[in-house]
Amino acid sequence: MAIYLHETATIDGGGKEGYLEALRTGWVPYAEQTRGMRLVWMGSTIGSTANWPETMALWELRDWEHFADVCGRMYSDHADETPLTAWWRDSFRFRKRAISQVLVGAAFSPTLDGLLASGVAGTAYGFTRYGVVPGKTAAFLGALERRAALDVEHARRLVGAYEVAFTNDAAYAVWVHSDLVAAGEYQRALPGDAEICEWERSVRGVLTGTREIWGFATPHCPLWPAGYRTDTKIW
Amino acid sequence: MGIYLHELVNVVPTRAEDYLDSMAEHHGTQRRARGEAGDSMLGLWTVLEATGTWPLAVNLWQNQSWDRQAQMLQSQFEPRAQNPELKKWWLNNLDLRTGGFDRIVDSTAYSLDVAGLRAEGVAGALFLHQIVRVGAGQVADFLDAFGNEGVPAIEAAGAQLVGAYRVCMYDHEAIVILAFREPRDLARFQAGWHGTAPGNGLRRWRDREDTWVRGKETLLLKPRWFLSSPWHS
Repeated sequence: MAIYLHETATIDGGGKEGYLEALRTGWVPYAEQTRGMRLVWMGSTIGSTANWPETMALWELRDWEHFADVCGRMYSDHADETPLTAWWRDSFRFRKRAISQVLVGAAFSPTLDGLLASGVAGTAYGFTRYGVVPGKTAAFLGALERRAALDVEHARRLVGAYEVAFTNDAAYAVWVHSDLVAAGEYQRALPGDAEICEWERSVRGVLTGTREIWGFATPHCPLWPAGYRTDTKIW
Repeated sequence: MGIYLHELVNVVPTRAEDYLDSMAEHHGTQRRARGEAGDSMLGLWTVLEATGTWPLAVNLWQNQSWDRQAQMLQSQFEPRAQNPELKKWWLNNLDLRTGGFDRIVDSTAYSLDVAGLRAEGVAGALFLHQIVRVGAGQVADFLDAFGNEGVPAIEAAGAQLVGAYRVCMYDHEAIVILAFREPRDLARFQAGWHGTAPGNGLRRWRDREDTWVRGKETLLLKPRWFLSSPWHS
């Protein structure tokens, strides 16, 4: 059962480009080398759908033991880990605060290796939070697996489906579209898809609310399209 | 049962531990002057950047009774009872924190006080802190069930109960804090919580708590000071 850390950082002014670059060149390789954390996704929230300016990152951990080890070694202000201390303090040139959640991968949720092996990639992503009636999480995740199969027909693929840990009222999913035009096309097509409308009716007694925000991947993150080369930064 | 002050404090990035040390020094020094230092601080923690809002610190002070709690508030607000040292500390440490949100809480009968926790040797490298939202008017029912059914399952799965508290002046919130001696104890606990093995008591409690719980705000904490500090001895 893979565990995921999902962090949303509030950026100070125009610091998004600097923070994403600091992550890419600093914390991402360091976290992978020293803690075995694997970056799944990194990028910017799309302000027209979410708070701004913000960045998000999604990390994959092997299991709860790995999670607990990462927590035990998580940075505190006076930690004796010089490279991390320097990066940590410098990062506050760009970011102000963060909000994080721990996600538990559903049985049908692909791991990073699975995503890469099946060629899942894109620039535009949907991050969906589902409010769930307490006690109905397993039932909802079963429904979400069926929804993922319906969404494939609209070229929207599942990056991950998760139970939100440490609460009993939420599930989460990440979806990928090839680009923003495709993301818009998916939204345009939704009301006319009878099967999806039926699916939405089927989960009415299970969900308390759904909210999706969009994110744009930063070039060089693992799910960025392999053939799309650019040196342009996301600002 | 006893009255505690629970604080969520918005600390300045990279200054959380400086804030907690400054707070502990001021609090312990003031209490020591009145002969009250020993059992007045339950825990001061930093929040890990894993769940919830960050940067954040959590303070839990044991004030024992409403009389003592009122005295503490008088020392800040009552014109004839203000403590000039508190004012000086408060205004001199604005570079360490920007604000916060506090709750006055009342401990359950099955929650140990500071002296009791110390006597039992409760300690942790990591702590699980949950603000539990229940249906209006259901706090007592939830906390009773938690004590009778939840705590035995939780402690069998590797956690230690620090305390379970009713949030005063609210009808829908409780606070639960658990300690894990080592990170691997948290791993075992979480694996059990999400496990499906038959006979898993933790899993049974997880299903049972859905009767009352409507959601939880969870923080994972690292202790800066727990049950004692250099200024609270």
